[in-house]
Amino acid sequence: MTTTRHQAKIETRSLTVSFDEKRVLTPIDVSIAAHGVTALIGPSGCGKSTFLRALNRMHDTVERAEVSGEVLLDGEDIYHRDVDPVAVRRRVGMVFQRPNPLPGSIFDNVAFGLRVAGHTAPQAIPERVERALRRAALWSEVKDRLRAPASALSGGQQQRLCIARAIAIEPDVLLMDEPCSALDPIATEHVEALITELKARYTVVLVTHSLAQARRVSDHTAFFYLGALVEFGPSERVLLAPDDERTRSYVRGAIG
Amino acid sequence: MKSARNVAFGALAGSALLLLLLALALVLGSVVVAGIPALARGSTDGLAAATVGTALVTAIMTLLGVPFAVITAVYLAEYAPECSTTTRWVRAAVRALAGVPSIVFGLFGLGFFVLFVGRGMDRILYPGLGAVFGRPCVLWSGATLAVLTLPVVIVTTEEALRRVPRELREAALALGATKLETTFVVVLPAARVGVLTGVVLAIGRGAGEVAPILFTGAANFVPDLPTDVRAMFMHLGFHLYALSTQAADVSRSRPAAQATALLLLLVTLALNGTAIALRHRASRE
Repeated sequence: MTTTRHQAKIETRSLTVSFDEKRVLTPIDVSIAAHGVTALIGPSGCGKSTFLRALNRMHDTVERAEVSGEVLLDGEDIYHRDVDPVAVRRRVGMVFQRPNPLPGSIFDNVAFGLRVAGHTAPQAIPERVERALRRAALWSEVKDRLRAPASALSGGQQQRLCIARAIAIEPDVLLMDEPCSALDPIATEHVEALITELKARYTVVLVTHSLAQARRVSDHTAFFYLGALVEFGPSERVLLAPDDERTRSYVRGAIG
Repeated sequence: MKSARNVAFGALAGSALLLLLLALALVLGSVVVAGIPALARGSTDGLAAATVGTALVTAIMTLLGVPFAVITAVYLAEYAPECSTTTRWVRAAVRALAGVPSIVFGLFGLGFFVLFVGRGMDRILYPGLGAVFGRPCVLWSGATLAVLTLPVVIVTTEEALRRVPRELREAALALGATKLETTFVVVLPAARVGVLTGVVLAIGRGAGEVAPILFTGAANFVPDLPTDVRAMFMHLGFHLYALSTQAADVSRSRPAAQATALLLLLVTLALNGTAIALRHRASRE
């Protein structure tokens, strides 16, 4: 693989997802550049979360879901039959809508991914945990209580812990499914600042219901409607001067 | 009109409760009142052996049965395809097992554990030595009780596993955990209170059962404390039965029977109490 040539980090080819044989995504072809934030917007049920979860093979864990088409990560199809979904998820991290800390301490949450991957020497884990917590801008708030249960943190802190946990295993891509929808405005501000910082190192794909958030943090925006990708391009164009009539209605607040 | 009916129902419910409490007080009261002096007199041979035997057989039951049941529940809750024929059969079998009378388990234990497994082990391990494992003993009694209590633990554990939120599984999977790691490192610990509830129920049922141990290991009289799982053992429930029905002079053995009944209640209570305390601690963590 050539690294000099500009290449998409993620590229989907005729990607569709069906639940119980019912197709919920019209085949989607999109190419997401490395380093940067891509926002996925659209009304509820438009398929943006379904699309997102296809990018780290999360649908594999649902019995009635079926994915077809290709998702190329650095040019290689993650759905190829020789590819282990577990290995894919170590390269493509995910942060969920509601903070979902694992039972156990703050430290254990961040160390979890390192421990199951088994590549990290036990004595190197504390250092990696600290680095991840620093990157997630949480270190100063939790450094004195790493052994406290993660559930004792506030919602915003829990969500930053989930981000720290995801980046501790050094993924290439970070998928975020409405990471601020359960947070108050101040916590949202923290997480948004973090997303802006993370894009230097990771490729971030962000599902959001908030057009303002998409405008604040994203470089590219994709508008989904009724399971189809309607429009994709630089955020200022898609959000401020969209080409498609449906996008225009949505960003003006007429649909959704 | 409505309030009159309410009063009537209230009175009915109240008297039902009273009746229940009265029955409980009668049973417990008579056991305690008669048992304490009998126990204090200490005129009762074999009670220590029977107490230890009851605790031992219950412990063996738990050690053998719970891991089996938990793994079955994990299979049903996490791995079994929802509507496959195999899953339906396994579920039906678990339900059927729960409805089998305990004396049938006793016969099953004799036929399967003692004669088939035990004799089979003897043939391979101790050829020509006679019966070592192939006779009734505390190990096979514990195994039989384990089978009896399987359904309780399976059902409660499966329900507990299903109550673990999907978000938690996804959190682990998204961090690159395999399904096996997710199940055993995240989901099962999160369901531990439910698992322990199953164990509490199983002990509550298993500790007092006599029928399953009748042919599989309970002895009329073994004065020494049990030290070998391959030996027969005394059990408080069986001892009570023997004292009340087999003694030459029932009126003379009555104090011993009363002491045994009291001890059986205490042991069952203690075992249940331990399990409940464990569960309580787990639920606070």
